[in-house]
Amino acid sequence: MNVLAWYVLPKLLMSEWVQKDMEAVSALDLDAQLMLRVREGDDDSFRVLLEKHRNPLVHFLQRMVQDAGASEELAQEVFLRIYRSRSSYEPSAKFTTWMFRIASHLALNWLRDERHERAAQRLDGPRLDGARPGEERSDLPAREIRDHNPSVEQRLVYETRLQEIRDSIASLPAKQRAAVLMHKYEEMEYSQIAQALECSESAVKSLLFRAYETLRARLAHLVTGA
Amino acid sequence: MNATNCPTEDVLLDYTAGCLDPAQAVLFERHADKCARCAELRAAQAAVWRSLDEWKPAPVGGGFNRELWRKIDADAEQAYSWRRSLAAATQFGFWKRAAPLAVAVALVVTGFMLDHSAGRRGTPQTNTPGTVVLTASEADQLERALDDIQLLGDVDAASAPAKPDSNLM
Repeated sequence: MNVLAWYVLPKLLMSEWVQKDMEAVSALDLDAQLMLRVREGDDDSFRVLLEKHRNPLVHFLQRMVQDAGASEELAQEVFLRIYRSRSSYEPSAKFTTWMFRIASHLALNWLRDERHERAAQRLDGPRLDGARPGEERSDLPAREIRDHNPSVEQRLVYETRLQEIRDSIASLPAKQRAAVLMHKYEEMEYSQIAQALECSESAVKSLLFRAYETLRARLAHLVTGA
Repeated sequence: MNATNCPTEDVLLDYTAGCLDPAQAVLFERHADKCARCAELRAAQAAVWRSLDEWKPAPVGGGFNRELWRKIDADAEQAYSWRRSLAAATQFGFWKRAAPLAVAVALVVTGFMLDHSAGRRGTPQTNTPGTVVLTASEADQLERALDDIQLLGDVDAASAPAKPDSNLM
């Protein structure tokens, strides 16, 4: 009965061409299999994909655009585009590569369009963490320090370090920034980053070398001061 | 990492990211232990890596999914209404009302094109250097002028006094 429930019945219910596609990607990507089910009208599979990739995607966009509200809106736009194009989905690349390709595209456009506005907002607007200038937000990493009862001075040092790290990432050209964030935080391979940024693998390596070179120079004083 | 025998920079990045093949990692460590430049780069890259680890992102807002599904529903609704209006537009009733208008527009366009092409025929063509293009009336006028010149020439020749015979002189 178990075999019937878990193996035979789903196979019978699925159309033959979906089975073919799924067999092709079965070894490759579980997400692609879920996406093929979404293509068949299974919204629950989309919910699974959403739960699995929501946080990494929002966090990537937070670090990319450094605006908490905008990053959530952009992430919603990414998922909306994925859902909208479900009927034409073909598992030609890894799902996450496809997702980050859409995300990078939207983020790069956002950075291009909002460059001037953002520069003005950073001077007196809300911070990345959603708090107003001079205000604390309790659910942030700062809590980790508070748990260990840090002094005001320690907290100030931590905030300053964090701001310098953010600034050093923000100072990178947009494409270098995207490459570093995908490499560092998403642990993507060069080939995946290349697909996401629509460039060659050697171009990605070049972007990363230059970006890390800049970061080594900019963050050197943090290391020596640590 | 361009010095001779130094590994390429992607080896350094992979080593720091912890995704370098263990055998290659050992080779790199042995090299960096002897090469001051690579040792310095290894330390600096590791420091960058640790610094970036400190940057923890803010948690995702609680209403993220709800807002996303609202957008998905709105998008589906918009697509549905667009399809519905397209379907309504392609019904026979619409074409029955629009047909006279379409015919009128077609007639106006045809008339304009005919008139435009007739006007084009009346205008002189662009000519190549050394050639002269004339209209029919201009050609008649030119022919008449040439005839007049020839007639005048004949009259002059007839009225001119006869030349004295040189043999008689």
